[in-house]
Amino acid sequence: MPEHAAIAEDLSVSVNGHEILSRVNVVVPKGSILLLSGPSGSGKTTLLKVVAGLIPELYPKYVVSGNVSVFGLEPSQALREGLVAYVPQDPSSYFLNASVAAELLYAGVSTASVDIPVNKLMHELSDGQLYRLLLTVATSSGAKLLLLDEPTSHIDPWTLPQVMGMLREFCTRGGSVILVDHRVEVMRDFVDAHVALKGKEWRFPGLGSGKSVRRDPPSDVCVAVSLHDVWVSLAGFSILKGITFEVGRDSAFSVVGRNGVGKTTLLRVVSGLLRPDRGVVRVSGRVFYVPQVPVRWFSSDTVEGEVELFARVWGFRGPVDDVLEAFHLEGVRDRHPFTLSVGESRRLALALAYVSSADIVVLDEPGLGLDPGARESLVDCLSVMMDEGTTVLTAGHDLALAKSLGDVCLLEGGVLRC
Amino acid sequence: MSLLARLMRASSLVVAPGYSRVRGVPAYVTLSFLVVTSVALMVLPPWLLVPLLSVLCVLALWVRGFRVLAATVLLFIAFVAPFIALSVGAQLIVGSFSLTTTLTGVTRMVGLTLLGSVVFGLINIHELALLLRRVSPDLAVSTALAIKFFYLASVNLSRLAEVYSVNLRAEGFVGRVRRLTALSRALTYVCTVSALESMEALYTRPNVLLGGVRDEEGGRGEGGARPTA
Repeated sequence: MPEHAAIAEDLSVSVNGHEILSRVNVVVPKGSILLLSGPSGSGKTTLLKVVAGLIPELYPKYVVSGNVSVFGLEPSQALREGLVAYVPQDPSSYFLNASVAAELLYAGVSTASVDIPVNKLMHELSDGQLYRLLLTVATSSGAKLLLLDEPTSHIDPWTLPQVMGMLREFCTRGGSVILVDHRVEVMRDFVDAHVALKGKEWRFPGLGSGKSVRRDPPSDVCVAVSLHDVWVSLAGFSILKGITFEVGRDSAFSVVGRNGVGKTTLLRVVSGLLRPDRGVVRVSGRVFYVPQVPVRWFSSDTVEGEVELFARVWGFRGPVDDVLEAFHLEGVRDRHPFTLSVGESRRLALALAYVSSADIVVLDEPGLGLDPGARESLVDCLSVMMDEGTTVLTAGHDLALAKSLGDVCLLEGGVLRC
Repeated sequence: MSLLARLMRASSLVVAPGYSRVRGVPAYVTLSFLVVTSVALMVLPPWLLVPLLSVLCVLALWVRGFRVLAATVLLFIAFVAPFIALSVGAQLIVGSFSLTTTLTGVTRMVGLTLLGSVVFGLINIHELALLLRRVSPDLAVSTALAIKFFYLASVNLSRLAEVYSVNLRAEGFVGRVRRLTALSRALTYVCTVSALESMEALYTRPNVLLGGVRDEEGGRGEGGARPTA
C-alpha cells in the first residue's frame, strides 16, 4: 500500500507552447490536508486537474511530463477506480440532480442527518449550504482523495471551521484532501501542509496616472442609495427585516454576514431586481450590478470587444485603450473573457461599469477567488472610481476587504447591525 | 425582475430533475410511464383525453406540488399559448376553423406539458445514467448532461437576464435587440462552460456511470488496478 495519497514529481504542463506548470513537486501524505496557493494563473487548477486525471485524458492538447501517481496508480486509473473526487470552482457543477433530496437519496445519505433544507433546489442554496452538501455527497461516494478548487472562498468565516472540521473528520477516516485557496493566513490553522505555486504576481497601477477617462462629472446628489424600513420575504421566510441605511455619493458601504443571511437579496433590492414587500428604496443614478455568479457573464469574443460594446451602448467617447490600460487589461485585450481569471473578470466588470458611467456599482462577494495582488488591485480600482463620484455597495463575508473600502455593517437575522 | 428572468425562474422549477414530493421511483418505471402516456395522449380519442388530462393534473399536483404546477401553467401560457392563438387565427383566416380539432390539439399539448413536468420531477439522473449505461456509456453521459442542461440553461438564463436588465438597460427597439443579442451570446458561453465543468465533475464520479460494472467486478479497490510504472 502506498504511503502517499498523491505524488507529483517534476510535473510540467504546457498547452499550445505556453507553459503552465514547470517542474512542480507535491506530496500529499494519506490522511492529510494540503493547501495549494499561488497567484491567479499560477496553475493551481491545472495541477488539480492533472491529479484528478482530467488532464490530459479530456484535454489531449495539454502536454504533461513528469511523474504523477494517486494511491500508486495513474491518475486516470485512480479516477476510474472512484478514488478521486474533483470539485470545480462552481460547486453546483458537481451535482447531477437539481434537488437536494434527490442528490442525498442517491448518495445514500439520510435527509435527517444533514442540516440543509432538503426541499430546496441547488441554486436556491447559499454557498455555505451548497458546500456542506457537496462534502457530504463527495465523502459518502467512497472517494479517498478530494480535490477542491477554491472551496473556502464560498464559505463565510463563521462556517469555515465547521467545513474544515468535516474535512478533518474525512481525513481521520483515511481520506486526503488537496484544496486550492488564496487565503493562506486564514487556512494555515486548518491544514497540514502548504505548497505555494509561483506565478507572476502583479500590482494594479491605479487610475490616477493621467488615465482618468470618465465621461460625466459627478452629480451633486449627496445621498446615492437610501433604504428605509425595507422588508423582504422569500418563499414564506422573512429575509430582510426593516433594513434602513443611507450611502452617500463618492463613498462605499459594505454588508457582511454569514452565508444565506440575505446579503445578495439586499443587493438585488438596491439593483431593482427585487421589489421589497414594504419599505422605501431610493436610488439616485444608474446602477451597475456585478454578480457573484456567474463570475463571467460577458458576451463578446474579446475583452476589448466587450469594453467597446458597453462604450457604444452608453455613448462613452473616451479612448477604449485608455480604459483597458487603466484597468490593467491591455495584456489580455485579445483574450476571450471566459478565459480570464476571476480577478481579471472582476476588473473587466469594473471597466464596463466605468465606461457605462454608472453612478452606483453593486458588487456581490467582491473578494471571491481573488489572490492578494488582485484584492489590492480591486480596492485601488474601487477607491479611484469613488474619487470620481461612483458609489460602491458590496456584500460578502470578507470583513478585511469590506473595511478597506469604507463603512461596514453586519447583516444578522435579517437585521442590519452597524 | 425582467419578464424573461421571471419565466426562466419558473422554467428552472419545472425542469429541475428530481425536484418532487415523491422520491425513489425507479428510472425504468418513470421511462415506461413517459412512453406509455405520450403514446396514449397521441392516439386516444378525444372523449378519453379529458379523463387522462384530469389524472395527469392530479398526478402533477401530487408529485410536484402547487408551486411547480403553477410554474408549469405559466410556461404553457408564455411559450405554447401564443402558438395556439396564431393557429386559431390562421384557421379563421382561411375559413377552416374546427372547434373540436382545436380543443383536441390543445388538450394533447396541455397533457404533454403536464407529463413533462411530472417526469422531470420523478427522474433521478444517477439512476437513469446507470440504466442507460447498459445500452451505451456515451448515451448515459449525454443523456445525464442533457437532462441536467435543461435546468442549468434555465438558471443561467435567469441570472444573465437579471444582470443584463440592470447593466445594459438600453431604451428603444435597437437597444432591446442589442441587449437580447448580447444576452444570447453570453448564454451560449456560460452554458458551454457549465457543460464542460459538469462533464468534468461527471467524469470524476464513476459511481454514476460505472456503479453497476463496479459491483459486478467485485467492488472498488486497488485489486484490479494497474500500478504506475
